[in-house]
Amino acid sequence: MKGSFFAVVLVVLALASFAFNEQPQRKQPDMVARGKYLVTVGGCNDCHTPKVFTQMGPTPDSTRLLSGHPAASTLPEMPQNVLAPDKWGALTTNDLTAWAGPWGVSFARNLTPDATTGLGSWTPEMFIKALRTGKDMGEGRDILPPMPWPNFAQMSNQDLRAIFQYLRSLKPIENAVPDPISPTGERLPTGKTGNISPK
Amino acid sequence: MKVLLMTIVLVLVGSTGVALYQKPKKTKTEMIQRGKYLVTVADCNGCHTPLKLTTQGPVSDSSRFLSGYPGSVPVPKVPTEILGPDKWAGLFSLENAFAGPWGVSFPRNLTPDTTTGLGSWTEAMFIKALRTGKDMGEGRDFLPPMPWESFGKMTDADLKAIFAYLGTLKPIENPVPDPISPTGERLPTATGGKLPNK
Repeated sequence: MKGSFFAVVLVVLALASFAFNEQPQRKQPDMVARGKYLVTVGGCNDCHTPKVFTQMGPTPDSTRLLSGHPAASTLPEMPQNVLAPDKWGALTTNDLTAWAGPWGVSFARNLTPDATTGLGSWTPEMFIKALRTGKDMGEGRDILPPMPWPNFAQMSNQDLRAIFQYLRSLKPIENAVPDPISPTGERLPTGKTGNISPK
Repeated sequence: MKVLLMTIVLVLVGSTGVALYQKPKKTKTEMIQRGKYLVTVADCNGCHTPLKLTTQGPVSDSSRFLSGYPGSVPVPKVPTEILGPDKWAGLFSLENAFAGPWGVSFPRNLTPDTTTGLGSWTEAMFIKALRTGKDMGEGRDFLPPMPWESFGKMTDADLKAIFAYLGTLKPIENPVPDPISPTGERLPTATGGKLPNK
């Protein structure tokens, strides 16, 4: 009898120490939920999700969540004498997916896991490197304004991994976002993008 | 002996239960660090910190961190002819005045200055403002591009952490101009200042 009580004590001690020492290793669904929270509060949809125009103004189109600048849309004509150091610094389209400024014109990337036009072929390491270095795919061309990658670069590895896990859980959408345009009007090639439709 | 062992078992079971169910209560310092992390990664200073010109181009002026649109800088003329549903939607000035269909908006002073910043705000007002998109939680609407709908989905704990961190900043007196309506009128803000003419 005494022996069985000792056994109980040992089991309880073992359980207690297990509970105290276990690292908070996040499970996959927790990671995705954490990633979704960060993507939501980080405002990723503001630029990376196309909009539907409602009476409440433009709102994110949930059927095209995070699929980037729509390949089929056309850019408004670039105004003359508006972007200048003593005038305006940047211009954005109605759906906020394209931005013009001293860097040329940039287009929000497709963040869905589509294999050819999205992040489907990316590894978590490439994603983290891209956000830490500001290079497309972690080693390509510079990620352009207004993408606030120097801020996201200061996220913990755990948070960046959670974001990547959430992005991997999205519906893959095929949308070949156009390459950016340089200030002199040339195309800056990107790993996985398409061509822009002329206006 | 049996009773003693029973007692030990009960104490251990009890303390394990407490350890498993106790919410991790953050200290004030941890809360402020968490707030700083969130303010950094959410890029609040992207709009709310004035710029200074360097040989590397315009960079955030850390001596005026989060003090909002510099009240002394005039706003460029808005080229309304390029704005419209099939045209461009918004124009950013170098100091982050943002012009569009809503008029012209200016990033607020987030330092704890009493008259021009958030010095007189309570934590509850701050949370309500970000949840409802109303200045001070009950004033005029927040204007684009402030992504309050995104920030409004943060947990109470995260919003409290941000407010706690903002409270530790150096107070900077900078009356940010009131926003301008599409017809050119001023939309009054409780702590807003006046805008110089170009």
